[in-house]
Amino acid sequence: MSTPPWLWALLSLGAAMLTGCGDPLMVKPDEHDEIGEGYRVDPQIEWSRQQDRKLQIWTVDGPQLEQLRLYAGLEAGDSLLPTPRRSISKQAWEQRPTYHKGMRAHDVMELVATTLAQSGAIDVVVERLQPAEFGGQSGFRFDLRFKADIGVTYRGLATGMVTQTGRLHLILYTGAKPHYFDAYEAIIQRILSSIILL
Amino acid sequence: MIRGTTLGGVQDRHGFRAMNGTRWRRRYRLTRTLAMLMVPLGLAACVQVQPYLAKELPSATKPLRVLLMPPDVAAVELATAGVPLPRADWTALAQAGLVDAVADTLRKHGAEMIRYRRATGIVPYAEKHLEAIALHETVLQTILTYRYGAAQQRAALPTKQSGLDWTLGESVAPIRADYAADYALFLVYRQATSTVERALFAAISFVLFGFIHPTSQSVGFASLIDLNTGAVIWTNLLQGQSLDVNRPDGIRNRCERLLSGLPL
Repeated sequence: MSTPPWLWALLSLGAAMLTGCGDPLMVKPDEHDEIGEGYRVDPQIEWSRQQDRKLQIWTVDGPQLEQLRLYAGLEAGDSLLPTPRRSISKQAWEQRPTYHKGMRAHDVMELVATTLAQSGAIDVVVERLQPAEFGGQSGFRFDLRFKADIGVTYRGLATGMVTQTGRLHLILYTGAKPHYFDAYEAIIQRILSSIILL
Repeated sequence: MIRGTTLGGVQDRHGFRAMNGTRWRRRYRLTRTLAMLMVPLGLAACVQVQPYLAKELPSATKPLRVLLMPPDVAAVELATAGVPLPRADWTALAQAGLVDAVADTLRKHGAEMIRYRRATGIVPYAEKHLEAIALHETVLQTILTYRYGAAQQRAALPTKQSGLDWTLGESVAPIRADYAADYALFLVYRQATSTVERALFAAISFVLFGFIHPTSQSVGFASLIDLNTGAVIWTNLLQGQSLDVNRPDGIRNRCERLLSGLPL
């Protein structure tokens, strides 16, 4: 019999669970939302938003069920992981996968896979890399899937582009394969079609 | 009256290691005694529930079939340093009490309880049901964080500010097909009871320093899932401390509290 650690946490410490990063905000439809200084999108529906330096995380039902990560203007040395709220060891900081100038679409796909695996995802598969428009410019897209340690299978899709100055814009959507990925996939496609580069 | 003499007498004359099959009962009584010491000192027994209901269910024209999923139960004994030691006897007692309470509660609601058939002695769930089970646990964590968490955590998801609006979607279809049930009831229950030494330490630290170390705690979570839609219909969180944590009537009382408000 497995013992969910979250219940023990509740039992001994009270509710002490993650709240994500930054202050939560509501994103509303028809309000073109600017992602950093990189691009803006039409959210289509209401989302809960958490914001980090170059990253926004949007979700409706909770980040463990589905989440849309919008990265803008990542530079060499930037990670896809949110800024840690607590100090981490120098070794952990140095070992986190980072974006490097000169990375191509295939390298970015590998960066996403490595970042997911280092975050605890199991059996990460990235596939079907293909050219795709990103805000009217030449970019790429690929699909992904992985498992969480709790046993849920997730599906995902990613689209992005590298700017002329070598910065990376990336949008990553992941959701639990049962129900949640499919529930918002059509909306995500409309959001991707609404990208306007700044 | 019992305070010093009973505790001191039992330990001095017999010692715990010399006790036979009734050892745990004595230990329970001693723990309770120590815990009772704390009541006049301001630590009153308290069990609270916090239910959420997505929607009232329509009146049923025939008895509802409710599938009781294998209850996830564990009881531990907390040593002085707070290290949890698994107790199979208390776990079995809590498990039995939980199932009895569910059967009685459903009977009162005119519903029929169906037991989930464990896949094996070790793995409770059939392979084809694992997707729904895993998703349920993920949804449960989300609900615990954003519905039952602290105010800051609840505010972190403004799209779900009130009510209970989560679903397992179509993942429940294989369970519905196999059991022809209307609803599935998931139960998780944990309880931790202090050893006599820890309870004594708690009493002393309270007297000397004013620190309160809870000596017996329970936490339970129940969720009712509509097997036709996958929607989470109702959840209830029970948490608190009580002195009868390992007595059958105490367990039953807490199970009934956990199931109070079941919308059937």
